[in-house]
Amino acid sequence: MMLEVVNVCKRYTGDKLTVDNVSFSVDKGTIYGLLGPNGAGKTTLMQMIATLLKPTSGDIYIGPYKAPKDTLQIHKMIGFLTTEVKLDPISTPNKLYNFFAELYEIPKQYIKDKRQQDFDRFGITPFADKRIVDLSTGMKQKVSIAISLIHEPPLIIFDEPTNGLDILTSKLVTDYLLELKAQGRTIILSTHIFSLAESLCDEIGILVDGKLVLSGSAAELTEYTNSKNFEEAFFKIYSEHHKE
Amino acid sequence: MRKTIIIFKWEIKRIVTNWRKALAMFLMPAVLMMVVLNLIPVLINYVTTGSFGQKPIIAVNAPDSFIDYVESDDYLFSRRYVFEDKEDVSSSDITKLAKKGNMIIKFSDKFDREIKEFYKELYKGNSTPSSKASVEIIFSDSSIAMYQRASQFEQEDLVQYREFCFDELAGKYKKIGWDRFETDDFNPITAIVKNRGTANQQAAVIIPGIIILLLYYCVYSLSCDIFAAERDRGFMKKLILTPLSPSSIFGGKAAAVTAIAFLSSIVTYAVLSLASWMNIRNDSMSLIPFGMILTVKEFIAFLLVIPPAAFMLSAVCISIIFSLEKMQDILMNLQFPLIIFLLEFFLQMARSAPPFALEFMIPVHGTLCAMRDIFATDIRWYLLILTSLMNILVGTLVMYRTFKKIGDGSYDA
Repeated sequence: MMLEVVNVCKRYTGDKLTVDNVSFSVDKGTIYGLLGPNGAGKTTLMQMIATLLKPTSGDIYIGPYKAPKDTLQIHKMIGFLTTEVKLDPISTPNKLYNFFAELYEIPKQYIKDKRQQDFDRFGITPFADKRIVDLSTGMKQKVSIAISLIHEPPLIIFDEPTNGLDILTSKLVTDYLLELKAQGRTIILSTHIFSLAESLCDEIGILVDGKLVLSGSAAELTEYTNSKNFEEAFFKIYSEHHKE
Repeated sequence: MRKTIIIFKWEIKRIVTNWRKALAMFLMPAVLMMVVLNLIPVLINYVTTGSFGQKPIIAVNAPDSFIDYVESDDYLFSRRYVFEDKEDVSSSDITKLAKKGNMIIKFSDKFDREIKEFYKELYKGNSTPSSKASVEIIFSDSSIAMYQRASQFEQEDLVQYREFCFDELAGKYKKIGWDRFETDDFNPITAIVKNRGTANQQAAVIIPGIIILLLYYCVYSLSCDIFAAERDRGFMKKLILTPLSPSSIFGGKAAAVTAIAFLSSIVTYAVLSLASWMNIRNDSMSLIPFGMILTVKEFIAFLLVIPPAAFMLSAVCISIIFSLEKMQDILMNLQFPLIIFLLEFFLQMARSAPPFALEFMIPVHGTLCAMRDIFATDIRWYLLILTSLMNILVGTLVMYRTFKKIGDGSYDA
């Protein structure tokens, strides 16, 4: 088991729970998708798994470690990616890569080759010395991916991976996710795009109003709700559990 | 500690290698302040006399010795003079000229001869000779600027002219009077020493306020960039997700803010010193007087008081940033101390008494008082150490409280 989320709740202010008693677990080498509309609590849940937020109650285990007690060990095991994160605008991909390599204690003799390999993989090399502010959104996201996965983490948390990206970059990202899965990495991604969830995820958790109402593969959920396709299945589940 | 240093080096490099940021941090504020300080006397001149430039001093019936003095190498000031004969300027003309914002100096008749006679009498043994030699300074007393200009002329020009007269007109008395020859007359530092006494006293009420204002401006803009903007754009999350403790990350960043602000203060001091030495006109309304300079001991004291103050200000800014979420709230709240320091700057300008010992216990204000002492050549080392310790102590407490909040998770990245 790579990730185990047990009865996790999160309350920001007032009585309303943004994440309400969510439990699920993810096996090593699988892709788990959190699907839900905006405001369902996907990002909050992802940030709690990444230790960026503290749960109001409940436990999160990543490998042998428990959050937030073993935060620094967990940080070595996870890579957190979100399109919301904007890199330092006045730095260059080269400078940022070297900086993060130093923070993750990657031996100096490997950095140059690894950077070359990662930059070639995403087509960053021609832009390596350009300032981040001068790069396109897609290129920024590619740089962000290269930096976030610099330490080759076994668990990758990807919040809305293709949000705001053009179709070419989206395709590159989804292909990369499948490649990471093939390498045996565990991936958790949140999305509100059905096709993405259906094509990528081994298991999908449907999040409605902060509650994880149902989970299973896209085929299982479609069959369970007697729907023609996964999209219809989602709407049936959503309308059944959503409270106005 | 090693990781704190990585963050520290990263932030320093980020600022220093970006020329726009480096310029904005190090040079622009000091240069802008220099321009403002040089503009003030020009504007005051305009408001009081209707002329942007300083009007020349009208010397009526000036003796040869005065003309020689003004044209000699000994004359350090660049005040302009217009020489008029007594016959060409009537009393009513003088009154009119004074009303128009001119300063007139009127010499008595046969001035040089009277002075020579005076020294002759002294040479003969008369210890209290009388003399009809006089210099009248005529100006309009309705203008503060003119009053300042007149008193500056009296204290600087006339004092030096008296010495010049002694050298030129004392005749035989020079040999039995006293020997004004000093080995230091050959030393270029003589000019510095001659001026720094009065210049530093005047600078003591102006410069500390400017340095604190610019120090805070530097800390304020750096903290906004390094902490608030990074959190706003989400880059802070990326750092927090590395295997570094929050205290390493924030400690390294805070150290970078403190170090850059400290360096910026040194640049500010250098620019203001340069401005002072470039202010050859030494306008009486100049906020940076001509000849301001610190001795090595004073400069070391200056270097000692700045870093603790920069640290204290960094702690305050970081605390404000992490107690608020919205960028506009942060910016607004960070401006309050700026207003306080601006107020403090004006209060210090109006203040004539030296600071009390208790004032040195107030963080940042104590630094301002210590700097005032340094420029006034009255360093009280125990108070200087006290204020530095107070800044470090209070700064550490504020920083500890902020980091504890972040570490507890009361702050969500």
